[in-house]
Amino acid sequence: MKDLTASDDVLRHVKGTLITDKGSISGEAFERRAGEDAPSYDHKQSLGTTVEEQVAELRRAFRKKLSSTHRFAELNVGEVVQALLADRKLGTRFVLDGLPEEQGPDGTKYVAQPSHTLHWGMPEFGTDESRLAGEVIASQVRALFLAKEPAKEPE
Amino acid sequence: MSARTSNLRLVDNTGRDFPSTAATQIERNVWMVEPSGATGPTGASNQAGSTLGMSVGNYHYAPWESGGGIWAGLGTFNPYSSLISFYGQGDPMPSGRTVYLDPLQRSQVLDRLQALAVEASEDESPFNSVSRDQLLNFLDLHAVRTPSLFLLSSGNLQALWEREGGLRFSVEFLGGDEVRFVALGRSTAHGHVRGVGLTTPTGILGLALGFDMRPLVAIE
Repeated sequence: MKDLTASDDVLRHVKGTLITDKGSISGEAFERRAGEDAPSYDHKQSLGTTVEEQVAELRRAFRKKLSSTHRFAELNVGEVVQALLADRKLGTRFVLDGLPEEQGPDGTKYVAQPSHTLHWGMPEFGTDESRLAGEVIASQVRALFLAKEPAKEPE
Repeated sequence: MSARTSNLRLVDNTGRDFPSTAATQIERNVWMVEPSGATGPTGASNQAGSTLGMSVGNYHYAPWESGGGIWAGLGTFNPYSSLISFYGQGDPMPSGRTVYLDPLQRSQVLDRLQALAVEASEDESPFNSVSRDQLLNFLDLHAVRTPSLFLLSSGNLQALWEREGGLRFSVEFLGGDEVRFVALGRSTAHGHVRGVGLTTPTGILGLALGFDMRPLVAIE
């Protein structure tokens, strides 16, 4: 377990119901969900050297089914922490915890996900503070990547 | 009931007829999803509770002629509901109200709602059709820019208007008389203009004005 620093970047998986094809994102995509201790992210620099490697590795390791409407949203740790602190007076941390190789509930074998990161300090889901914090984070998104590799064009 | 689509009359928000080519385009765009063998209710109610002459399950619809004039029905069919909403000449909404959502906007909105419904179905997530109807009613009755639309985990629809620089105004349609808004307004030397809470659909534009974000939301 290690705290990420201000220069680190993280990727957040966003379902197609919470993002448009033009890249608008609902703040709910970054809120702590009901029954969740902290929202999950992946530490971008732990996934590879180039952006292509990083996105490809996350697609490989990600444990939920990815669809063509899903995206990975890139955020800078320092910008998000500072924005939440300045805007909401909310102290939060991104902690790299990593996930080991393990068996999923339906018998699926999950590969290790050393980039797995939790965003601690987010307000409880369903509260006004949670909604505001989600919107503040959504305003900090730097880039978006297709979560599912696009089908290759036939040659 | 027989289909009488040739009698359909599509009108814009000033009551003028659309050219027939435009009307064809509108029909093709709006009647989007027709699952094989799917059936829907025969007859549907408008907001005033009147029965419209429609047979949705068979994809027929006929103009409903009454003292109010001829209806043009626009809608869609999906696993969650039969019909989205209607508008046209003779709209029985309270007098003095204008329908603002133009056919292109409506087509974009319905496309997005359809995609959200399909995604919810695939994920086995909730989709609140009452929230969707409240959203469409709001868009019909208010001169607003076309928002980005999302389906929240609650099953409610959310509309978002945003601008670079972090200005964001979102509205969750709760499906009753109220909506929930979240406003990230301008940041000044004195702090950040922020708001979150409940209001009514008719209070949305007033709130946007209060947060100095009316141009972001409204078409002036």
